Amino acid sequence: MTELQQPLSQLQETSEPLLNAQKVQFWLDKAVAWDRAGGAHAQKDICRHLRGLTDFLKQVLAQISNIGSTAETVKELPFLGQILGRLCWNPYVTVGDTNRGLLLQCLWGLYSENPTNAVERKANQWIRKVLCRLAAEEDNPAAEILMKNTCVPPKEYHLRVLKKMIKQHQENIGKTCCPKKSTDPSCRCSCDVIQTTSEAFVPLIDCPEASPVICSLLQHPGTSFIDALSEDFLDALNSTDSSLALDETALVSVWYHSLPRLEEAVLDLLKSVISTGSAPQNLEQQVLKTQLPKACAQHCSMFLVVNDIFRSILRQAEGNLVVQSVIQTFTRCFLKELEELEPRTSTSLKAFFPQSPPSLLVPLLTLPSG
Amino acid sequence: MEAVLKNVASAVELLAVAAHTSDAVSQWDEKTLSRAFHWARYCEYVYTRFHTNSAGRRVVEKQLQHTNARLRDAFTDYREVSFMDLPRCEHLLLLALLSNPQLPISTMKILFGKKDVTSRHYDYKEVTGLCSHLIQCKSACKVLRPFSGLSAVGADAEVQGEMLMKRLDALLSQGSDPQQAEHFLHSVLLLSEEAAHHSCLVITAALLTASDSGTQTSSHSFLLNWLQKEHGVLQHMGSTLPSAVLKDLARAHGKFRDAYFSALKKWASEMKYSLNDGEWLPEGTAPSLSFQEMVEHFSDLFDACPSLRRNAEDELLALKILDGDFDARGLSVWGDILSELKK
Repeated sequence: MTELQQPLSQLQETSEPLLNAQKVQFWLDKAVAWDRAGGAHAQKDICRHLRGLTDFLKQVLAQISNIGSTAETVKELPFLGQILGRLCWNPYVTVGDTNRGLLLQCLWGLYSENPTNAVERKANQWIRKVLCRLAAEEDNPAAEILMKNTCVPPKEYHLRVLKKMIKQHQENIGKTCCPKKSTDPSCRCSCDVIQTTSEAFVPLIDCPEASPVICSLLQHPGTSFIDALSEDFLDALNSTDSSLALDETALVSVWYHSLPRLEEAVLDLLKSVISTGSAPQNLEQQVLKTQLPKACAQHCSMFLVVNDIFRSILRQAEGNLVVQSVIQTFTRCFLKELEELEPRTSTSLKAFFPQSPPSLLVPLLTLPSG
Repeated sequence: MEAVLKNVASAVELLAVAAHTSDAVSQWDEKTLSRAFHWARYCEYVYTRFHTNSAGRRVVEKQLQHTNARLRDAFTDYREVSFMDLPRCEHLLLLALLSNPQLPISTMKILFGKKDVTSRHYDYKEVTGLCSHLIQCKSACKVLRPFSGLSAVGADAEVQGEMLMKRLDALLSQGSDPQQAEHFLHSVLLLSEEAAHHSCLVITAALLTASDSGTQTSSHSFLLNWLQKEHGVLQHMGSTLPSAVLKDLARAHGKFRDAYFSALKKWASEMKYSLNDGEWLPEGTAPSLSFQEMVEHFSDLFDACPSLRRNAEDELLALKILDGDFDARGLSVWGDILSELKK
């Protein structure tokens, strides 16, 4: 469990440290190596570094804003153009909303509205050229000819191909079935599918079109019981800034696999209640909507984490009535969900409250009648 | 109709302005951009409305000729817009704008910005993030392409096959000259050595698209007739496609089954027995299939089409008899194929 020393200040922005030559050289070497290896061969290495790349691009953006002039930036970071240029042509980098957005912001940062020298004018021309090529270039001559002769615009074509690929992956996951017992030897092949697919979708974690497959991976019965999901996939899930469009089962699965995500969900609930000042009658709806009570009733381990977060916050926010009422409402909702669970799947109360004497538990958790 | 023609003329003019490096585009803001794409979308609507209506189409084409002539005089390097360009007007507009150095950077930022996160589906009418989304789709396809083993022919070929069939349906249902449809097939199915394999995949995908209408059945028939004339393509398909795919094709289309069987017989007839190697080897124009592979092809075909088997075996037996009815290996390719098939 992570130490929650200052949970509510977790989301405060810290200023990005400035870039150093070593860091720039590291990413230049990476960009060149990825270019030379070609996509699929470098895939694993790229996926491992996507999060680090996000941090790097944020630092570059901060540096560009600090310096304020393209000519000066080029002088200070002479390889920046090469790095950004190569990254623009790396589909593993441009597929995700976060890195693509940062890359584009870096390019805008280097664009001079009123260029005053040759460096700035050249930078402007280069930026326009890169953007035009990125959006307009087709690297498949056969597809291009067919598009022209069948009057299908590129946007429609690429979206159709992508949707088909997504559908095929979903069907492939659906075909696998994983019995609940991990000792079953026939589980092996379906775990391979989950492992390979989750590995393939690491760069697409924040690509909205990919969410059906991500949901399927998270909802697959096997993933609750066996850690078939790739580590890189779980890391990417933990660290993505974008909100994934997930349904209830997938969301619970994300929390099950990702502690930071679960913590974030609890803190988000507290923040939203505190900032919007929910009326008591709306509080229960707000709490139920998060799916947290249900998730905690289904998974004792999640409840223990949420319980610890609430205890920590109660200690810090002593006397805060809003916090108290959120926790009371949550407990009420949680108990209701627990009661509604099938008897054979519900865990004994002792598992949820290991520190409390059983004789105290029942009366404390019994809701007043009437 | 008059209003439609006027609108088409305006839209084409707008496209010309977008491409022209004058001050006009430097004034384009988000509102202008949005309106311009709205006009481009209108052109798509005009195509959809008139492409199966030959009279209406002719009128629109006449208007386009007239507008093109006028704009040719007004703008240097003017690119003419044809009726077939209308459904791709949005893309033509995008290309024109992105290549135009006069387009304000603030307007460009809109095209490359983040699309509306509150909407799960990209709103066609909105220009925000148009390019960003396109880059994302292209990148996602590149990332997922190495995993194309999930489908027999790959997602690209499947989509291209669907596009091919849709266009073929349209050409054949318009009652236009069959030569136009043939010309279309020749234009899109590149038969150079590098492109041949991909073209085979596209043809396969096209032939395996579900045929639930009369139009599609006749399009399949047309494509199969074309295929029978293009021996090189059939040869390439027979020698490079996986057997599961060839079986699917043979099961789905009697014409393919018969053409494929004829092709296999032709290739087998061109094999020569090598005493040194103790084996039948391909010669001449036959694809480089080994004898075992040849036998597997026959076997797979008969598995997929049991109705073919008896007549086919009789035919091969007749050919063996013509060769002298020898049982010893190496004297008749037909005899040796038959004895392998009986194993």
